[in-house]
Amino acid sequence: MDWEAQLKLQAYLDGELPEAERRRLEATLAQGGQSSLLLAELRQTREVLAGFEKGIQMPESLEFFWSKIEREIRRQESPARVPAPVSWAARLRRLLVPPAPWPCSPSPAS
Amino acid sequence: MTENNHSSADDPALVRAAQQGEMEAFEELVGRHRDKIFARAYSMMRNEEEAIDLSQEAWVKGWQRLRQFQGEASFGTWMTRIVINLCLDQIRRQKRHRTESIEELDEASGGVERQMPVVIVNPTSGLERAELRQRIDRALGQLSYEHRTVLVLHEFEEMEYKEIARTMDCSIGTVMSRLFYARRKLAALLADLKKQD
Repeated sequence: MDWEAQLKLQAYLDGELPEAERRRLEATLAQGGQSSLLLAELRQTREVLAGFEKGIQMPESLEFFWSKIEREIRRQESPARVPAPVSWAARLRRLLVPPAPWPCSPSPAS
Repeated sequence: MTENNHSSADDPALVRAAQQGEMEAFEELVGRHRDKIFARAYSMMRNEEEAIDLSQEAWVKGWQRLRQFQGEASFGTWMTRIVINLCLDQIRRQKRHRTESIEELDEASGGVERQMPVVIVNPTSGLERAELRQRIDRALGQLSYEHRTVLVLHEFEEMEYKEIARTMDCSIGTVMSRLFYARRKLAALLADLKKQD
């Protein structure tokens, strides 16, 4: 099967093929063969994925999640914007990494 | 609107109340749709922390743009589009910082999907729902961002090819080719996972 035929098969599955081409393809599919097998595989993959997202749940409680959203909304709405809270990692970095030397500061030797 | 009213009100009523500045009404909307918004972010990013942060950002943006919501689509769909756009922005930022993956090279050079043998046996038959979910999760995680995004937008968001092309700023041909690759690769990965058992 050439590349174009494979993509047409997929478009057929997705309902994206124009009517005339759809009829032509159905006639080919009726003869079985490689295109029928490929169509079955594509269909199977689509069916496997159906409903996959339904079981995914937000790992944080509503109370905690909402408190973060509310805080951020209020922070962004306040006239004098309060800077975003600095993470612990960033604070630690500030403590551990010495500040860069002042570009114009004289060297100790001078 | 009282707290009791919030839980019994439908989405359009809650949206109207939130548009008037009632945060409690918006909180109720968050409670109703947060799993769906998180799930979409997680499907696209494959990282729990990133998905939490992006869904939080989406809800903040949702509140700020609430007056623009006219109700052409459902509130859930509107919020989903916000989180999808945030995920796409994040993916673009990350893409600028990483080198091309082997999969992208494959796609550019013609793609291995054309030669892949067809998976005839259902690789997921006889699996419990949780096990199946786990397997799909692992397989999705092995796709590149580009392929996974096209798959998510088509299969979960039910977008048409031209809509995906517009959203991802690429041609319809690219969408079709990426979707085809993603599906075939997923079928092969699921079959491999079954063989490993």
